[in-house]
Amino acid sequence: MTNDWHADSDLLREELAAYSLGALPDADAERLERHLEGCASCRSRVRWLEPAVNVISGAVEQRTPPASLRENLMATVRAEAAPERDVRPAKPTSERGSWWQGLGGLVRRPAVGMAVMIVLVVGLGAGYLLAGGSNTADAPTFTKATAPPGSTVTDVSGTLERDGETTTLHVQSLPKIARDEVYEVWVRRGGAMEPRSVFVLNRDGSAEAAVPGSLAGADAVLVTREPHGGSAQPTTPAVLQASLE
Amino acid sequence: MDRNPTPEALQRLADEDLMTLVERKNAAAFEVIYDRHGGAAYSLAYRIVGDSGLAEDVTQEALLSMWRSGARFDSARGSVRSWTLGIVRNRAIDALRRASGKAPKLNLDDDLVLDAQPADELTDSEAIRRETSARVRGVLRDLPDEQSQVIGLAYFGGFSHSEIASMLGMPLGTVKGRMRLGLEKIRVALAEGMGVERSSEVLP
Repeated sequence: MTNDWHADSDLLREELAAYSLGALPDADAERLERHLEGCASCRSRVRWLEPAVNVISGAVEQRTPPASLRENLMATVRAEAAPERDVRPAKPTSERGSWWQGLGGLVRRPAVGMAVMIVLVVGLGAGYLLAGGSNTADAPTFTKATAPPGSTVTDVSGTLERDGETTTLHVQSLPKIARDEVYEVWVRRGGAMEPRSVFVLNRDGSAEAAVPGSLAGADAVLVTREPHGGSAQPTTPAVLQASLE
Repeated sequence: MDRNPTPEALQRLADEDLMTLVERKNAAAFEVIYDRHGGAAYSLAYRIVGDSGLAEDVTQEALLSMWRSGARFDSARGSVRSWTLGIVRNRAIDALRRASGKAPKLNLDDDLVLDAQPADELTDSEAIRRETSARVRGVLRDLPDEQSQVIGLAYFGGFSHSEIASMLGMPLGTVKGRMRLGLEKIRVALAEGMGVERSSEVLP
């Protein structure tokens, strides 16, 4: 890869200004981001330009957001928040007790589950930062998630990724749900359904959901549609299922 | 840091410290972030997509992605506000492209930069910004039209420099040069307006 533009101060400044304005074509932006990782002077130049970009983005006519924006956003955020008291990673034998705070059946996502999800999101979204990672140990395994037998909703797909103790459900496609609904992840073990986490879809119908806790002895990971906040037991038939073993 | 600061304590925290709590899934910390930057985020989204319903969707999507991937915020790479507005801007451009079938609508009168208004926010940095807002508006108004135009098309229209060059029928180098001159002019005027520069703000 040539860095000719780097040798020319004007070209460099043009490249960094265009990047700061989001005006570089994707391939050029990716190339520049790789360069920024190793070039302190260019990074500092981008940071120097940042207030100018902020002036542009902040110079638009200021509007008051509709109240529904805050309400919907914070409802989802609270549903996905860590428990009020910090929950340390739970041992499998005590998992269920630690997830349930007895607050009207509200599902709380354990802190450990979210940490796992954050790591995965970082890995997916900023892969270039992690180039040369040393993860050569156990390779993750992937299990296809599909519509359960007999389900009337067939336009669904997902992948269950198990990487050591970390399990993540990647949803490629699920039907849209209402704003006061969530999808809930369950682990089926010995005929019992254990609530694990709740999630909502991205705009394109995809989602990532942490599946915290052990899957030992479990026969499937399932997803149901539930009222906001999640349920203690499924209230609708499963729409997505990853069978284990 | 206390893992569960009181709401009053949260209000006093800097954005960067709040983001540390957001990474731990502290909803109250995220709420403060929303209250500080949500208005600017929505306003920017509205400015780009031009529709209140879509702007609401875009803003919610962008802020939720921040909530879910708070660990991606890196204070070494910029402020929380610029991170937020950068995410909102990119999501809004994506939405604009989806809504109009790939190519954003061409609007050559897009001299939005000239409609400068101060952001109405309450943080310290916003207070400083408000102090200098008159000067900033002056800077934006004084920006030569040809520089304002390419900056507006890129930032609010989502066009790449080569797309702008072809739609305006001018050489790519001219577009790049105008972007750089315009952006640097704003930056330098901002620095002058702020008085003594911090050493970190000296031109690299």
